[in-house]
Amino acid sequence: MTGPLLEVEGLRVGFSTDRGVVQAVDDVGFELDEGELVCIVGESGCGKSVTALTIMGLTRSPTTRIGGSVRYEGSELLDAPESQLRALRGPGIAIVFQEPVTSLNPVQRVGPQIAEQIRAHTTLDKAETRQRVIESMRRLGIPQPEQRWYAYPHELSGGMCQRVMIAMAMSCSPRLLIADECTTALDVTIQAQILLQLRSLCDDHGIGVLLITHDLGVVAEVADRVVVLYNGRVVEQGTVRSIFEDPQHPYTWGLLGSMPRLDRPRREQLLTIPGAPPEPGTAGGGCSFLVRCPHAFDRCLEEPPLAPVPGASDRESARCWLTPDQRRHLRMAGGDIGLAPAGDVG
Amino acid sequence: MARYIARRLVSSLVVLFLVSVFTFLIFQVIPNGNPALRIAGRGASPATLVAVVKEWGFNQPLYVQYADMMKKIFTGSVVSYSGNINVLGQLRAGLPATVSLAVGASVIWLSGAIVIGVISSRRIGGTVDRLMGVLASVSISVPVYVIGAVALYFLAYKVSIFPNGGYVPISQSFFGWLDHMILPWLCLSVGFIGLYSRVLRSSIIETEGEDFVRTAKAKGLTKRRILVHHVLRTSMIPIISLWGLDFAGVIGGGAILIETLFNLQGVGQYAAESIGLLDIPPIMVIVMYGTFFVVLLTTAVDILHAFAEPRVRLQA
Repeated sequence: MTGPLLEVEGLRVGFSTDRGVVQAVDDVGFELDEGELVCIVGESGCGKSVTALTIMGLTRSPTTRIGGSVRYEGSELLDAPESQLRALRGPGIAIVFQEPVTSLNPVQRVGPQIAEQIRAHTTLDKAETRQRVIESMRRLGIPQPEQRWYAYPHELSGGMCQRVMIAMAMSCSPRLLIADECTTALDVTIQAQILLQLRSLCDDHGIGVLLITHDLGVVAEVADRVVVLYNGRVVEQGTVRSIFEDPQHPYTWGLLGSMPRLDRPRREQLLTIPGAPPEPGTAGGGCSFLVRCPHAFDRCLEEPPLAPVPGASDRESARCWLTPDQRRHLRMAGGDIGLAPAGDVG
Repeated sequence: MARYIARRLVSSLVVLFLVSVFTFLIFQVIPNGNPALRIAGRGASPATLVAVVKEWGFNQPLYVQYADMMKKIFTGSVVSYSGNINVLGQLRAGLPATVSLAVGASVIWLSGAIVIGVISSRRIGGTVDRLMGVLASVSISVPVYVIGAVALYFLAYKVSIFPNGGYVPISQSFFGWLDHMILPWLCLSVGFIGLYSRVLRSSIIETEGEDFVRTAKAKGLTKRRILVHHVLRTSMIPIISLWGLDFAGVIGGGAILIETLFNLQGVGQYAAESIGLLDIPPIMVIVMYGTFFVVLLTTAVDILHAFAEPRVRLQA
């Protein structure tokens, strides 16, 4: 294939409310290749989910203003007619939502809910559809899928519902899978299993996975590349190695610093990022991290562009006025944020 | 399920008992309630009056009178004070008209409300939706007897499209029956359509915000399939609950105004006449019969609800 599977460029999503337009996503751009797992990380309300929903065309409404570009296999989705999107949802792009239990229809058995999608996109008959549903449930490690066909969502555990959701998403063999905080509600053992399954989808089936999370542990475990979002903007992106070893943006330092670490002496208290993220739509000009940034200086009143990191690969970029030298210096002075490259760990 | 139904049956017996006691007592305490005066007739001699009181047992303690009436009701020998006619026979005679009214009007008001509710919810805030909202407020606010009287005046008196009231049994003439029922059906349905369509509209809007509807969209289903298979099935539940009560009300003789206005000779009209005459036995019977239907339909709706919503457990 020539281009990337998914290209998002300058994506802007605003919601009209009584108090004016709330800009939930403001200039988000990234690329995703086949067989690649890209993580979008950020705090609650930073626009992660809205980005995911907008890629699928699920935020469209008379009160939503969407700008920029989302290209799937080179074709533009943002102004695509609803019928084209409908054909794409399922066989092209599939999504697994955050709340598995409420995302399933409470009054229908789970088997038919998966089958419904297959029936909408293929010409398989009832028996073949059923076969395929049971197969995809089995592949996700759902025990006794023949019996589970008849279960209602409330009769299954959260982890089982999430598997049903993933089985549903995978049932039409999509090329791109969006997983929106899909492990947040689950306990860690189930979470690990599901992450492993997502990873193997990329490696074995060449599916592109866009994983949305606020959990850096999840990111470190499975991601190829990472996009860090803050207040609706990409503040930094790069490979998982570069984000953890050589983070460029003070916000990313804060995220990393707030994680407990086993390879350093224990601190009395974990680092926190002071303040709270700005209300979407209230930020003035300048860097959106300005008020919370310990290293802000006068130039930060002007919004920094998302610029490539000098000396790094072409897909690494950050939105900060500090020079790479300053960044390295400040990071060291501020403690031990960022992992030293593997060789340097004493 | 069997235990649940058994339990509901027992509780409905309690409800029936209480309703009958209260109804009986109310007619003992309201002024001019002495039935002996009316049975004996105007200007009856004191001797006749005493004889009547003795014959009908009005001098007995209240609980004896109540027990006596219940015995008569359940053996089917209860007669009205005015005219000495068997009450159950009268009730049975009124049933076909009342059942016709309730069933026909239900079909009209349910289908009308579903169509209008769905259309309004497709165009929230649009011209059609606002118009429907105004019409709904009007139809709920205007009393049913005004709608009925206006309809009768224009459609039966000014222009004789429909007959001027009365009831023709379906066994006698299907088209005659239909002809006589259409206007009562429509007049009774108007208010219900207004209320039900608004309830359904907001229920649809609420359901459409649910996560599982977003999932249905993400599955690439057509709008129509999402509406019918995912949204409507859930949003119909409040409509069905409302319908259970309203249908029971009409079939239990609650459509007094429409039945009287169109002279349908149904249970409701019988109730109205009996109340006018302060004739206690028919009132007791009709109230108990109506209560029975309300209890029955409420139970039926609860069972239906359990089928539509697997999360609902019927508590035995």
